[in-house]
Parts: sequence; structure tokens; C-alpha cells
Amino acid sequence: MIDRGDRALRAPVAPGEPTGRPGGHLRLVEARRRALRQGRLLLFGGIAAAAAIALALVYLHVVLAQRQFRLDNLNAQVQKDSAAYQQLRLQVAELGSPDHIISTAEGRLGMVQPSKVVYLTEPPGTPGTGAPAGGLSSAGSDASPAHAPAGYADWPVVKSELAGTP
Amino acid sequence: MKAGTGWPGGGRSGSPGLGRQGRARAFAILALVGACFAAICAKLVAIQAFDSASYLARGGSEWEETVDLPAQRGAILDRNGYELAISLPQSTVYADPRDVTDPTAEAAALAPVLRVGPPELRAEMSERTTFVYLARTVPDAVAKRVAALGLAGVYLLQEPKRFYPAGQLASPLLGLVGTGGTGLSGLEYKYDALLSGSPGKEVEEIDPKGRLVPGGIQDFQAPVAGRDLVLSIDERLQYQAEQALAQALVAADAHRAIAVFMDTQTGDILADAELTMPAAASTAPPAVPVEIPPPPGSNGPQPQPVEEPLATSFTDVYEPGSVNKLVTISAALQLGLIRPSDVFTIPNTYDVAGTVFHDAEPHATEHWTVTDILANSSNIGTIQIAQHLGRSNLMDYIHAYGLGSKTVIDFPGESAGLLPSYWSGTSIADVPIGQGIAVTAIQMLAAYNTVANGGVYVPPRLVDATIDPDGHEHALPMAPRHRVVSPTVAKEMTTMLDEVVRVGTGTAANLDPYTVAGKTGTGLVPSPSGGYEAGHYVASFAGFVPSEHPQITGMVVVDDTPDYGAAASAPTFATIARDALEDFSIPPQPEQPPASGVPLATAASATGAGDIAGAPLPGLSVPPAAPKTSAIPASPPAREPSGSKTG
Repeated sequence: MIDRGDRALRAPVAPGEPTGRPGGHLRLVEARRRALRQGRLLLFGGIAAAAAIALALVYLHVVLAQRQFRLDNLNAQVQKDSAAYQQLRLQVAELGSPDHIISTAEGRLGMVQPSKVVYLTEPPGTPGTGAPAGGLSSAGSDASPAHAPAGYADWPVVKSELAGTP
Repeated sequence: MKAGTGWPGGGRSGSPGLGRQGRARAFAILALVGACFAAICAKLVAIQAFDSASYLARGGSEWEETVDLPAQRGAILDRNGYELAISLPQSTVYADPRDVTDPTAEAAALAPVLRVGPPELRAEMSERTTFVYLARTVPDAVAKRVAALGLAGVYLLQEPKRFYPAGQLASPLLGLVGTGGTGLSGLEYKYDALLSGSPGKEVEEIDPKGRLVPGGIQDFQAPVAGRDLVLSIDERLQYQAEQALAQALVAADAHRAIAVFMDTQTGDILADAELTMPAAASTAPPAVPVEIPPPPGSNGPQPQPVEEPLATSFTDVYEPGSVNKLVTISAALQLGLIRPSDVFTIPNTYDVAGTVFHDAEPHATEHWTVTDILANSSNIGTIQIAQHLGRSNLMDYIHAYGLGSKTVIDFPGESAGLLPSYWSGTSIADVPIGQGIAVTAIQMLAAYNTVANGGVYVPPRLVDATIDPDGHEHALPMAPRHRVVSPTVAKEMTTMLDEVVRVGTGTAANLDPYTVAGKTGTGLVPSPSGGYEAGHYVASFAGFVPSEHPQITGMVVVDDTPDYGAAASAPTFATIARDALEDFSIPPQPEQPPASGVPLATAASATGAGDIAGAPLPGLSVPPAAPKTSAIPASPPAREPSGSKTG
């Protein structure tokens, strides 16, 4: 503690007035007091720094919590979208299954299975043809080749088949 | 502090107020405190340094929660990428009976939603446990209704469920997946490790109320989704095969049937239909919707075929009958023991080791070439050829064609077939005509595919590739092939098999303008009491098309039917082969001359001694029986064709 007696030792000096001894413009500061001031500054600085760090930690925690919350939401969204994608994938697969297509074609659109298969082959002499001799063949056909284009013996049958299709 | 204060008996400097006894007491207390402190320190060191892991684990169980992250099970796709099996997360309803406040009321509320009786639910919710399933993998709509009820102690969790978009299509092949997502049979079982992937886990930090602590995740291992499986199966052809087979099954009044078709060049199995007639009390849904008229004299609907529970084309064996003659005759040709033009004298009956063999129908003594023997499916002719061949050679070629061993597919439960365990005097007559041995449909299909491939055995394939979670496709390696017979012998056999369909026992498989090569077969159904069931046959047809440049090889087996192979199986082969040719846009091939040195069968020689020639497909004409150009004169005249039977 500083007692008032110490203050009496300090001679009052007017500003700019020479002190009469070398370095007289400097005044004496008592080392203990200076240390005390520094200690006080250090204390307040430390408290301020601690408070700042504490606040920073709180802020960091808040940010972390917000990010975690957002991450959880995003994860949930990913899972939801993934499930929706899989659900849609299943729907597409079900709609594209032969069973569904045939039941729709026959049940709703009125389509019927063909009673026979007509094979169209290129006429003989066509380069690269894979057709057997005789050109176009219609299985089970007894149609007359009359009025048929050259090489198309079964043209009347084929024509009627084609005419019956939309 | 002044002397003499604070301590009783104090007053002396240095130890004010402490006498000797006091000092001893103080020292003892100090020592005791020091010892306690040392013990605490020791324990602290022990906890922190040596037992830290166990204490950490014990503490972790209080504030950590491990969440298993199931991996998405891979889908099963057909060769074109259409899903045959796919997994989706579905909601499971469960209860924690400790949290249930009013089991009776809650059971009454849940019962109409879950369609479970209230007493059952009440019993579940009253159990002395912490977890009971109420309903597993319920539809989303049901899960929403359960959630909307807001019942205490009733919760939802997500579990994967397997869906089959194409219904039961190919279900014997695909197999089953258990509730826990583990493959139990079929391909789901065989490729379970690939399909199921690796589950992940997340270790989370939770507060005392079980809430997730932000940023408190301790560990996270992401699940690795399973791979998709790309099958060789073509969904469309599979459907068509099942439809055709269902109709054949009913028409033949059979117990069950198999139709397997493969890509001749690659060995890819394109369709594998396996159906059976349901038991009387069965509630199994029909395999595929087909229009089948009710049985005559019956007012009730005709029972519809259902899917087999197992892939019988791999797991079940049967006596192949005349289809096996391909092995015998091609082996003899390959070894140069016979030529296609060799003429054999075929009596009505033939004695081997005291046992009389005969063809399916009685006939006069005939003089038939090898072509005629095959076209007429003559047992006696084939036995004579086998006697030239001998046991050792015959068995060598049986093995070379893949009979008697599993295919490389190694399907779960696949049979290797049954070969004679001992060789009796009549074995040289039985085995060549397909008796006394048993094969799977896949084995015999691969044998015919060998001839279709110019004599090279192509291992059948069921899985073409896998697709990893990143979408990259990994083709599975092809198994090695091996040559069985020369290209010349394969061509000779093809010409003879052409004749089987053109004028022989397989005319019902005719697919004009395509050329079909194939062979009928009729085995007998073994009786549980020994011997065979009279009038019960295993009727089969194996062949390939177009025979000039084979691209589709197929096998149809109809089990336990009163019909022969030509009537029960050949038309179904033609139906499915026609669909396959159309699906894969395979045009008819230019007609080719028969193999050099192979005589053709004639209408006169085609008596059909073994199988009934079945009716052709509706809309298809039976081609004229006039022989094609042959380098060798046709076989000697035989009797006129009748509504013929061959063996």
C-alpha cells in the first residue's frame, strides 16, 4: 500500500523548468507502483481475454450447433430424396414390366395378340439378304400370289395384315 | 501468532503447545492424510494410465450411442437393365411396452390400421420387455396413419424391404430375401455378399435425455451400398417363356415344366421358366396370367400354374430319354466308328444281355442310316451304335458334354446329375438312349449348345456383370470353353437334327421359314416304390435355331405327362423360339446344303419309331417332306409315315 508520506518526497516541478540536475526533465516513478499498474493491466487484460475466449467458445459452439443442425437436415433430406428416388425407380420398373404392359394393352387399350406371325423377307437377289429362296414367306398362308409385286408372293396377305394395323 | 495460543499445551518455541504426544499424533494424522493422498494418487494413476480404456468404454456406454447404418441392397437387373428385384426402406411399427400407457385402448386404435386383431396387439404391448414388433415393413400410407395416431410407446423405424417389380417372374432363379435383408435362396443367396454391401455405423454423443449433442459424433463409417447384379435373363423373353410354358403345362396335363433358352454364342441364359401345378390347398398366385379354358365337364376354373419354389432346371434331375442320343451318335461319329451314311438293320426287338429292347412302336425290320435312326429316334439303332462305341468312350463323351458335373454357374443346390454307379450288362443299352442316367435341364441344354457352336462346349452363364455403387459396370469373366467334337461332326449332327424336325419326330417344332435343329425325348417317371410309373413321362425337346447359323438354343421339359416329347414339348419350344427370334431380331438364314456325306431322311423312312409327331404351331405350315439335295442317296425305303411314334 502507498502511504501519503511517500508523496511528500516528490518535489513539485513546473513544466519546462530545469530540475537543476542532469536528466531533470524525468520524474521518478516508484517501481512498485509501476509494477502494480502493470499487474492491474495484466489482470484486466487477462479477464478480458478470458471473457473473449469464453464468448468465442460460446459462439463457436453456437455455430457448431447450427452447422450440425443443418447437416442433420441435409442428411435427412438426402435420405428422403434417396427413398423417393428408389420409390420412383420401383414405380417405373412396375409400369415397365411385361405383365403391366400386356394387361394395359389388352385390358385398357383393347389390343389383342396376333393370331399368327408373318415374316417379311427381302426378295431374292437383294444384296445382303438373309431370306430363303422364294422371298417373302407368310407362315400358314394359302393366299394367291396373283397381283403381287415381283418377288412378293404373299403380298396380298401382308397387305391385309398391314391394313389392319393402325 | 503468538506463542501459547492455538495448540493445547503449547508455550515452547519451535513447537508451541505440542507436547511429545501431540507431535506424535500430528505426525500420525499427517502420515494418514499422506497415505490417503498417496492411495488416491495411485488409484488416479491406475485409472488414468492403466485402466483408462475400460473406464472410457464403461462411461461411453452412458453417453455414446451406436447407430447401425444398413447398406442399400443392390438390385437385380435383367440384361437390358430392367429391375427384377429392388430394395426400398419401409416403416416398421414397434412398441416399447414400458412407455405404453393404455394397452387396451392403443391396441383398439392400432388394430384397424395394421389389420391385426386387438387381442394380439394388446398382448404384444403388455409384454415385460422394451421392444416388440407390431408390424414389419408396412406401406407408407399405413406408417403415416400410425404416426398420426400419436400413441404413447408406439414408434416407427426404417427397414429395407425387397420388391419384385415384375411380380413372380423368374422367382425360382432370383430366390428369396429374409426379413433381415439376407439372401435365403437362389441368386439372392449365392450373391448375398455382393448384393448386401457393407453396413456402416455412427457413434454419437447423446445427452442424458438421449438427444444428440451437436458436434458430438465420435465415429462415422459410411455404409457401402451393395452392387447391382446384371443377369443374362431377358425379362420380355422370360415372360413369354412362362406364358407358353403355363399353357403347355395345362395342355399336357403335366405336373411341372421347365423351359430354358440360351444365347448360342455366349452361353447367356436368356430365359429360365419353371412352373408347376399348385396343390389343391395351395394359395400361391398364378405365375403369369394366361387364358386357359376350364377343364371339360368342370364348372370351376382351371387351376393356373404357379412358380416352382426352387430353380429345378439346376436342382432336379430326370432321365433324359432319347435326347441323350445326341451324345451317343456324335461320339461315335467323332471317333470314326460310324459314318452318317452307314446303314443299320433295325429289327423290331433287340436282345442285350438277356434283356429285350424295342422301339416305342413295333415295326418291321428296317434298314436305316444314322440319320434315319436319329430322325426316327430308334432305340435299337442307337444301341447298336453304342455297342460300336463301348463303355469307356461313351462315358468319356458324357463327361465331355458336361453331364455328371455341375455347371460353372454353381447355382445353390445345383445337382451334378447321376451317372451309373456300376456298369451292368444292359448299361451299354440303357445309357445311350438316356436311361439309367439322370441330368439337369441346364446340362442337356449345354450339350445341345455344344453342337450348335460347332462342337465347342460353351459354359452357361446367368450373371453377366455387376454394377458398383458408383455406377461402373464390371463384366464377369467368361469361363473357359472346350472342344468336344470337330466342326465337321457338329455340322453332320446339325443336318441330322434338322431332319428330326423336318420329317422326323420333331415336326411340331418346325418354325418355317427358320430351320430348327432338335431332338425329342421321352423318359419315364420313376415310381417312389421302385421301377417306373406306367403312362407317366418326362417329355422333352432340345434344339437350336436357325440351324444354319445358330443363335438360340433351347430346352423344354414337361414332367409327369401322358404325352411324348414331340407332342408335349416340341410345340412349346417352337413358340418360345419364335418369340426369341422376334425379340432379338434374328432373320431367317439362307438355306444351306446338308453336311457332306449326310443322307437325308425321307418321308418314306420317317416312321417315327419313338415319339408321336406333335401338331405344328397354329399359323405355321408343315413343310413338305421332300428331301433336300444330298450327296448320298437316301436310305432304303421304309414304311409309310403314320401318325407316327418314335422313341
